[in-house]
Amino acid sequence: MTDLMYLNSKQRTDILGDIKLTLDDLGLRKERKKNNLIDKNTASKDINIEKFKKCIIDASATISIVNSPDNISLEVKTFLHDKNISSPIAIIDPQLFDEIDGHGLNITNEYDRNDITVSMTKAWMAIEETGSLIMKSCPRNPTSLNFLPDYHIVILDRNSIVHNMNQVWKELRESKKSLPRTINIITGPSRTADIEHTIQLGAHGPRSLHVIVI
Amino acid sequence: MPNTNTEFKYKAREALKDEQLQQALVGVKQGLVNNRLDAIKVVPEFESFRNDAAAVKQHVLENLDLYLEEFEENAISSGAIVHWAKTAEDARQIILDICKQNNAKNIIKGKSMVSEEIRLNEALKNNGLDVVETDLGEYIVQLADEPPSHIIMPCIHKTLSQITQLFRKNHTDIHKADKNYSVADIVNEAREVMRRKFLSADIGIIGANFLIAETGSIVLVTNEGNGDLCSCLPKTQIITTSIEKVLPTLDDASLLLKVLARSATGQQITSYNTLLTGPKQDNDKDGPEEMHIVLVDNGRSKMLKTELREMLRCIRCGACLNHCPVYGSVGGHAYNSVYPGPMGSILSPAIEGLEKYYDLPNACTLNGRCESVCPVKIPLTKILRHLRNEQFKKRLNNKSTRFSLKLWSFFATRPKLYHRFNSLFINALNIYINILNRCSAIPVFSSWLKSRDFAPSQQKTFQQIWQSRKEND
Ligand code: SF4
Repeated sequence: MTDLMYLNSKQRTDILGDIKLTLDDLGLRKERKKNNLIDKNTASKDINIEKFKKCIIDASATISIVNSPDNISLEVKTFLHDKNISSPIAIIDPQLFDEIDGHGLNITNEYDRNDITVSMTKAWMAIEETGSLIMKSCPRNPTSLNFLPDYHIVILDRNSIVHNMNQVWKELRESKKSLPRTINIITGPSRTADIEHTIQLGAHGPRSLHVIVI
Repeated sequence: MPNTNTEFKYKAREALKDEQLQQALVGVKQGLVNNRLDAIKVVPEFESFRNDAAAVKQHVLENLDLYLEEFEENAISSGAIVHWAKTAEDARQIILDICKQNNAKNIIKGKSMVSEEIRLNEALKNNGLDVVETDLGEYIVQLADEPPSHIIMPCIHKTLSQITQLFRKNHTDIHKADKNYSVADIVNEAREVMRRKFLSADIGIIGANFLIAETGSIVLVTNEGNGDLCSCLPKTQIITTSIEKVLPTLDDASLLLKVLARSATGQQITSYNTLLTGPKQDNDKDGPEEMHIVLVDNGRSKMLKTELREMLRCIRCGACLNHCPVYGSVGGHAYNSVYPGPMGSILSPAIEGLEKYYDLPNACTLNGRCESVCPVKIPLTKILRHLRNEQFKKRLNNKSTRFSLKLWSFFATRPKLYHRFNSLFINALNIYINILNRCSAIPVFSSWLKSRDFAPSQQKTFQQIWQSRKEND
């Protein structure tokens, strides 16, 4: 192991030293210029939920908008019924579990990665411009819940939709907490076009993604 | 004198005769090109995005050491382990050591061109490890024991029936031999096979599209979600990446992601964009206990010293391949290198030597379509021309090419002689064509004229017409 570490630090010095020499010798170092376009004029405008909806649908996901958390379970029931699914919904977030519990849905708070057909998770934020959902990993929100199931249901608070990705980064910087291990920016279900350019959903991750906006 | 000169020519000739390949390549020329056009049509400011993207990547190159140091520092404080590899061999050794320390047996991989470049799969296999590519396209070429033929669509050269045959041979336990497989059936079967692999793997190896200096994070872009499963399920994670992939801030990543998705697949945004920072945190239910980042140089710091420098801006979108008439006619395998097409014709000689990939800078018509679509505005034809000059200087061309070039340059640098010779040549050509009534029979040019025709000459040279007009005025 010490040999390895020695080797690593030698290679590091070699590579960085080489780059430093080149940049200084050739006089390549220059100050950074400002970008022309940093998402101007968007911050003040209202979120256009119709635009968001269209982007979600364009990305082959589905979306429904409900007025109160009480209506979530009805939405979910319809969704599962349409897809003919009877498997339990994995919900690890205790708060979300409590909200959904007692409304006649088959749910489980057990995390068994070998057996997840449907999952329900909460989005931290979303992006209007592209219809993307932002998921932050934490003990209540394991990343794999976004990828293992065949059917993924996401609950999104309407007030947490922002215009663009840079606003997500801004929020992240302002929250002053250390970064979560994973931030997923999810736009539609999993897909592949590797075979004869045919787009096929459900490559490894969810075959379908349903967003419920409150 | 290298004797690989005929390699590209030979493979290209074979490729032109391969009907299935030709059929598959129509999809590249139509599908991917049109997808990109549709995707940028709705973004009027796309050209400004390209300018900004090029400027950010150029700025990184001009301060590469500083951003790498910042990235390293932040990655380490997030709990990741950072390794530096000067050569491909070093990188393989580092990764093999990590596998050994973890007593690993089963390895799953996400798509990584750097891992192709360092020929990692072969090394892992030779050390008794079971490696499975999880990107569907990569998995298919792995089953076929072929290299990828496109940097974002690895099995673009394969038809559905060829893939079905591969699955029949390899998935004996679940494949239904009497069934007529559709694309959906193939994808489902791969999903089933792969899911078992995901859940039982010891190590997940993935690539990175960008490294973020500001946070020490990795940005991973996929449509299938396979990279994410590779990164959240196994208990050890290895990221194979290269030093030029670093970006200053997260905002820069947003910009680059915009141009990447549109240029690569014609999507407004790729399905999964993931920011990974450090290993599993306290009480997390998933995520790796160890995160290893292997920063590969493999010739890049040397490229920085040369006229090939701007090539290091490349974000591996594949647009230059899709728009290249040569790639579109012969496909990726003819290049016989990890990176094909215009970007490969520069990168492969740069990384592994012009001597080895002597043919590639010539596999280009200098039509410039590639650079007109490149999202980071790399002057690809300028760099290819530079490589051709290097070839000449290093005396890598064959004798007849060198002789013709010297002959041409002798005349081209003596204008009077050139014009006199030119008009003589045109006259001789016309007499010849009149007698034979066929252009393709012109000696010396016969091989060039085999697949195209020669426009009949104007009888006079441009200079002669110009001169007579001036006199008439
Ligand atoms: S050279 Fe430009 S167009 Fe080609 S892959 Fe790289 S970034 Fe894309």
